[in-house]
Amino acid sequence: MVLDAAFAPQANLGLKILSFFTTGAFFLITLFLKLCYSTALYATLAEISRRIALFRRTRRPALRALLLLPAVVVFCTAILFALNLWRVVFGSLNLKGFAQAFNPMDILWVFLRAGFFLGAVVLGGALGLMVANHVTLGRDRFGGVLYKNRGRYLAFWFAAFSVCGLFRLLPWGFVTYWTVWVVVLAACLVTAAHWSIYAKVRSVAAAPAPGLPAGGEIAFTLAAREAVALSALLRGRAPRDAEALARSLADPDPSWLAHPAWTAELRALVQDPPALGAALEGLSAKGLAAKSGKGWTPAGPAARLRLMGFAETAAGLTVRKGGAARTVVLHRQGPTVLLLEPGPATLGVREFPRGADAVAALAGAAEGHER
Amino acid sequence: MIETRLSLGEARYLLQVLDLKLAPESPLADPLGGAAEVPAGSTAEAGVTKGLTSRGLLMSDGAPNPFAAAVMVWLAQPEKAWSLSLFGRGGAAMVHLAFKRGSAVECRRDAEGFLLRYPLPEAEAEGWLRLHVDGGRHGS
Repeated sequence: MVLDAAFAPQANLGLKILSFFTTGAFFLITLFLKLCYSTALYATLAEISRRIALFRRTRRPALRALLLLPAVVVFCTAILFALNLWRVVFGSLNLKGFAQAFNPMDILWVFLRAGFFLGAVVLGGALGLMVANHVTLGRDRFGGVLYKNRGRYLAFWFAAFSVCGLFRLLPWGFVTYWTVWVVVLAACLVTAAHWSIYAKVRSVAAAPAPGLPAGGEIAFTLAAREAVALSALLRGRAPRDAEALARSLADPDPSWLAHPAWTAELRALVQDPPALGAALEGLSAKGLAAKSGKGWTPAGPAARLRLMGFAETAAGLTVRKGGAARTVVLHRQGPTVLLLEPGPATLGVREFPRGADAVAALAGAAEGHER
Repeated sequence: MIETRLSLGEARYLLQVLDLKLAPESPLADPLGGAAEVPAGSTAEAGVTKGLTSRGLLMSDGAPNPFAAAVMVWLAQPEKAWSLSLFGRGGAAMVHLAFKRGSAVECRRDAEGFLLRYPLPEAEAEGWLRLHVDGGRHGS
């Protein structure tokens, strides 16, 4: 008895020290998880904001961004899920109750709670594939892939994540289960949608360019005003009147028929639709535009030129000699090769027969002698 | 081919030392046409001459190496110049050839200055063009 009494305070002290270190370790682990959660949240916000700004500027999807975004989403969701794991799987059972009151009904309940999450995964995946199916892809002038994406599913994930994070801070366990369920659904939706869009972008980018279908040879020379009018005509699909074409010239396409010296012509045509009408009449006389009741459309070789849509590569060669400069541009798409000679007053457009030596022609045309 | 890298300041300094005026055809006219001269006796001049001397482009007496001098003459006062712009999925690039007396110097501008490659016989210019247009990374 005397010995026991002597050792009791030491045993209590040992337990207290052990308890202190255990509590401290749990505190540090929880702190680490909370820091991970906050860091991931802020990193997600910053990354999403940056990507959206980049996408708005260029409308070009970077392939890595398509995969990076769902990776960040899955990471943040996983952190939140891990923080809620006990509450989500075991409900209100605490550690003490878990050891004492575990019975077959509890086991069934745990399996039901955990299994129901599979429904969120499957439903989220299916919704993601449906969302991706409605994303339309297109090509830019140089064959890059563009897509129109409103990103509502990202807003859905972000809202679900925010609500779930809020309820995580509050003590209402029954709400946390459903908010975690929705955030898992949203994360699976984003992941499935982005992987599907990624696969679509890859397949479109890898598809060989078809080139122009066979038809009337493209070979014409235009005055600068006619060239500007044709650049407006080539941009739309539906017939448009002179006023609508003038409005579209306010936001000109710099990559196709532009020449620095044409800027004045372009401004004049924007402000003066009748002058644009006269340029369109000039195109019509050359068989490059047609007017119907609904408005102007490209015709003949110009209609075929519009089918080209984009160029995989373009090479512009400017030769400067004796104070004069001459520029020739080669546009290629698959087997189709077009040679454009934009001068201060005229534009020449010529299609090369398949198999012709376009590079020699480029050098020859820029140097001022035909080959 | 010999490859030489020059910063904007080094190129400006060499033009100054050689007393070369930029012709309108020169590929240097756009980046260096409005650039201020490197002040004599300044720390900027000391930095430029140190860099050029360490690479053998300036000799110990401060005069330009004859090769460097010839390249600057080619670039500043070419008889003819080609400017090739390339666009494609791999990005965009611009490269120049300055021709004089049957030979050419290639000049490529980047963030650090100029990358020069020489000599290229004028007879091989079309092959050079073919290499860039058909095999450039812009089309990859």
